Amino acid sequence: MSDVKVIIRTADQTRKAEITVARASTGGDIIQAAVDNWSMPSDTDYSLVNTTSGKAVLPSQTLSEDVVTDGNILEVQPVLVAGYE
Amino acid sequence: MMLERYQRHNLIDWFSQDTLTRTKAAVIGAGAVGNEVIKNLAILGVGEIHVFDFDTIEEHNLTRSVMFRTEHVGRSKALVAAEQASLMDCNISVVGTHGDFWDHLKLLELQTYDVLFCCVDNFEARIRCNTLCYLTRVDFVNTGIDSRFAVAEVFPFSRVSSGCFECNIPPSVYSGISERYSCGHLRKLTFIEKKVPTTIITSTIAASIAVSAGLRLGALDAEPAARRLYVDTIGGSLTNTLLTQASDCPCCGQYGNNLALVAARPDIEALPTEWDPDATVTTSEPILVSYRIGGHETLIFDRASRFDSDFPATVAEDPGDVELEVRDQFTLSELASRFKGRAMPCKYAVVTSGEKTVVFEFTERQS
Repeated sequence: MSDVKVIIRTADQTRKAEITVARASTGGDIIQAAVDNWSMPSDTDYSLVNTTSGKAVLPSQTLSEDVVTDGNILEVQPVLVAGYE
Repeated sequence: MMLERYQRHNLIDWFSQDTLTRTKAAVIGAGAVGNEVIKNLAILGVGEIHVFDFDTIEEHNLTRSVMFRTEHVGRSKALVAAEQASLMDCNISVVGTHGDFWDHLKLLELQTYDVLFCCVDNFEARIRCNTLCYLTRVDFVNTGIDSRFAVAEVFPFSRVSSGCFECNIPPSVYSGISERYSCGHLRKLTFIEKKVPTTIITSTIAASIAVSAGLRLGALDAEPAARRLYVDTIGGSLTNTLLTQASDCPCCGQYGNNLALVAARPDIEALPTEWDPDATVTTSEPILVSYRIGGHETLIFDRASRFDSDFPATVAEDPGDVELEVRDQFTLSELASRFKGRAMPCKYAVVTSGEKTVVFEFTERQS
């Protein structure tokens, strides 16, 4: 099973880490790892963005070669629900 | 159009005031972001604006709502926003509807709009706006904020369907929605909505990028694609992300691209009789079909949203004895036989048979 080396960070860029993950990992796995390791609020929904390619990574999408390459930056963004009150 | 009012706009080479004058926009929600979106559309001179909101103005809204004043407290958000926007430009038409867009905005009417701006505070309403726009091929702009970040997501359904709002929301969103319900889609009486604190800063930015992207200002020749513009208002960064299409999407993955839309009387008999009896009928919302106590079944066939989690206790001494049947999928033959003579208790139904998909919108008008 091949691996890929990426930089993962939060949307406010206060947290950043270089990690090596299996290509079989999914976008959802990366989000969950960030939430767990960085104690991000668990009552918030998150999405994952490859800021290097400018494309979203769906929770069910694996980190295949057409989705992520070595050195790409993956950003965990809170899904924003407010806007009314 | 060369009105003195728009003289400066006309000096911008990529700016078409004529296009804006011909533009028809719907705004769902006249709260923090909605106020800013409506203000931007009005000041730009967008020809027709229709505002939908069921809520009234409270004092705490005044810190984030550019069009509301102390004397407006207690009045309808939609009507006041429409009044105030009308005062900004006498050349435009602004209409307010005090009520839920789901009840008041007909699909056949929405088809006549160029763009819908969704400025609400919950995922259910966003999913509904996304579905309405996808079915009618109207451009959809979603907005969201918290105290730091602002987002605008643009889905240009009139030109391309390369992913919709539901394609790009995580599964945890559906888990959050389900927490509002119990007993199979009956609304929980005890559910307390989490309040997210925000300021005018993020709502202003969300509305600005939403209106710019939604009206395609300066981007008329750009290749259309679903995009998310995500702004960190403190760090100063903007992330421009191409959104993806999910093959298992509950919206665009279910309905496909070849859709026809027709008006129909709101009764079972208005559905097509000449189609395959096994054709699937998907209703726009869950239906409480019946409840069963012991071996005895009582038909209800009404919107599940009209009932709350106390319903079982109103029909049985022990609510645990009540078995509810809540569904949003039927076959044509089942509807014709089991519910003959009843009204269709939903906004619309999508009937699918083979490659053929028709959306029947239930109105009083004849098809």
